[in-house]
Amino acid sequence: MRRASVGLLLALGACRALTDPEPRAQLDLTIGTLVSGELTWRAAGGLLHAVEQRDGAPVFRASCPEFSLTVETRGPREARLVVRNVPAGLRLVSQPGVLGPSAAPVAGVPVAGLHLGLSWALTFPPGVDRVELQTEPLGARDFTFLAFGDVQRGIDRFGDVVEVLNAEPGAEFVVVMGDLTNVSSDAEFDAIDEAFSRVALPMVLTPGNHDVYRATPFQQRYGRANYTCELRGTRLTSIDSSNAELSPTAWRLYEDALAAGREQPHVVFSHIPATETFGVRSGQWNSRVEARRFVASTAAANVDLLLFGHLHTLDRYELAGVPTVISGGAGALEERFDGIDRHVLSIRVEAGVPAVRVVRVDP
Amino acid sequence: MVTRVGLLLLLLLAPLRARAQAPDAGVTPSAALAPGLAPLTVPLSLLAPGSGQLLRGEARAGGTLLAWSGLLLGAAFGGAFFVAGTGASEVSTAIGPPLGIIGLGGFLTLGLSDAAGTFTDGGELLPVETAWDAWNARWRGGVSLLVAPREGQPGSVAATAFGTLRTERVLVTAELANVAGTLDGWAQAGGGVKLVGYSSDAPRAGLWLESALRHELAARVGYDATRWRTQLVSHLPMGIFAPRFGRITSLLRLGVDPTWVRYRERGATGFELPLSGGFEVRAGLTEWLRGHLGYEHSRDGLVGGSVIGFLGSFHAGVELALPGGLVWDVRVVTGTPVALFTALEWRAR
Repeated sequence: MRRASVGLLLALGACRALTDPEPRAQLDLTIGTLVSGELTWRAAGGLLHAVEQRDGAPVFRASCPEFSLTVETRGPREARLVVRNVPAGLRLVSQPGVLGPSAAPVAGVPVAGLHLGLSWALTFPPGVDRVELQTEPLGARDFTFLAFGDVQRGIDRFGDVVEVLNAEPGAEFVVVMGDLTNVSSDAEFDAIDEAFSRVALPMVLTPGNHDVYRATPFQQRYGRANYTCELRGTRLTSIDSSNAELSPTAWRLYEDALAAGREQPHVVFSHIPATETFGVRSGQWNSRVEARRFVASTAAANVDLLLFGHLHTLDRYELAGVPTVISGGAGALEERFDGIDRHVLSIRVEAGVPAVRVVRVDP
Repeated sequence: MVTRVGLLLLLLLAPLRARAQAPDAGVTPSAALAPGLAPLTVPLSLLAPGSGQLLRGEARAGGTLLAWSGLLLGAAFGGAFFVAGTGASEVSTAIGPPLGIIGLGGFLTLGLSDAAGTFTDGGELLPVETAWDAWNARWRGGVSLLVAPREGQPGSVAATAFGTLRTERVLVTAELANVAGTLDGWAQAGGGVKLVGYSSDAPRAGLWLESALRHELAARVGYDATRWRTQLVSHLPMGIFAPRFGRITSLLRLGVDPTWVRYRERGATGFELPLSGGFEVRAGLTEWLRGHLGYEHSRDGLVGGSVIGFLGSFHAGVELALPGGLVWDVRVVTGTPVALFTALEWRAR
């Protein structure tokens, strides 16, 4: 009975009005540019987001482990780039003289007390006021990443999930399909950040409906809700469906991402399934017409894998021929009668083709 | 299956029980409400249907309404608890939302009936207003326009022509629609049979099995879809319960929309099996004006569901009776997006 009561409260909670998706998408467009004193930082695709100042230097969070940026100066000839949520040993490349005496890529220096944080010393060569930096391409080879969705009130037991994530061999990053929190409170975001600090891999996130009850905390902490990046030759795209619809700007960003990824392996991840397996429960987008538009666009752009959360279960199916997985089993109120409890996904991309394996957290 | 049986029991037993009570219901004078008290009964009636009748001394009608509203509210909450308690499992969501539609639809119907009935002192079992009500028309034909502007989404206006023949036992329908500015649209044909009649005084009132096949062209968004909607539909004039409720009609629909979708560019097909249904309460306000309020669970039109979870769209509006059997219907639909619907139709018994 207590469980049912809690469940009903959660269901009622899910009925709370969400913040409008269009301002979130508009906010996305402003993320990635920082004017700090006489320095201006611009990350391509908004993939770097300034989250704090540390020792006078901005600390950026990377939405994806591969990124590029430009830095302009109107005075200082030296600067420090600090980025967190990146893999250890990440290397940057730039024009000669910017990162060091040689033109070779320079590895970042770990930053004490900053989880998965690295820093680089930048020098503006004489006569140069604008430098370009990018991560050394990781190379298009086979790789593995992990994925999960829907923690919500399961944060107290999330340590089990962390153990599973850290134990998966060879994984390079983790995709999270939203609903990190239950009501978007600061305390919940603090708790999930603390839990993420125990994960040895970068986290690549998209918001869920439970993360946007308040307008900006998700983007303040994690950067863009809609973005696309390239990892080991595979395109990875987050699309913000946390309102069960896409805003006009999100549609434009998505169509750009589809165009960019048309000729390469492409994994798209989002929170609310456009269309679930059959749809009796309507745990999907508000408009079936819009959902079909999304599916048609996705299929036409040769997307290789769709990942969703939102439903606290595991479901594998196809949307217009695109392999699709719903996985919302990281601790939120579990769906009964589905034969699976908490779990994460391990996704191996071989020759550009993703293969999904389920890793159970609960035996 | 359990849901269907429950629906049938609810829909069937209510009118039958009311029919048994009808001879002595509502013919005795009701207690007069103190001046100024009547408006206060409206919120009371909406919160606890039947309380208005009880205040007027209509113990039997009030008690019946209270009992049924309790049962319906219990069904709705039971469905919600079942869904929530099982983490919205496929099993529970196939049962919970139908219970919610029936429960809340019925509860709302009874609440409005009680509120309206509290102000009236009886009348004909089926007043003249029902003559031009949608469910009671033998012939219907007309045109409609739906304006659903949504930034960033192609296609926002649809024009429809439709026709219906409903005899006392058989229904035949047809509909043709076009999305403005495109060659997109849909063609629909369907029919139905009456399974159970509720009253000999209202021969078209009853529980119907209705089915329609619709083929939709949506080149603007890259698909074609064929939908085979099949629903149990209850047309229940509340006057069956008591004459003072005669201006109210309850419409309840429940079924499924198996839909086959073909995505044009990739040639792939998909299958969807959403629940469909809804409810509508229709109330004759005057001899020539009717109000209606309802809920539509489907999300496959130009208006989708609300941005609050599993819900579909809500609508409210009025119908104006014009000379010559013409009716002008205007309604606001609140879903994704908010839309305006208007229709001009001809109805004849």
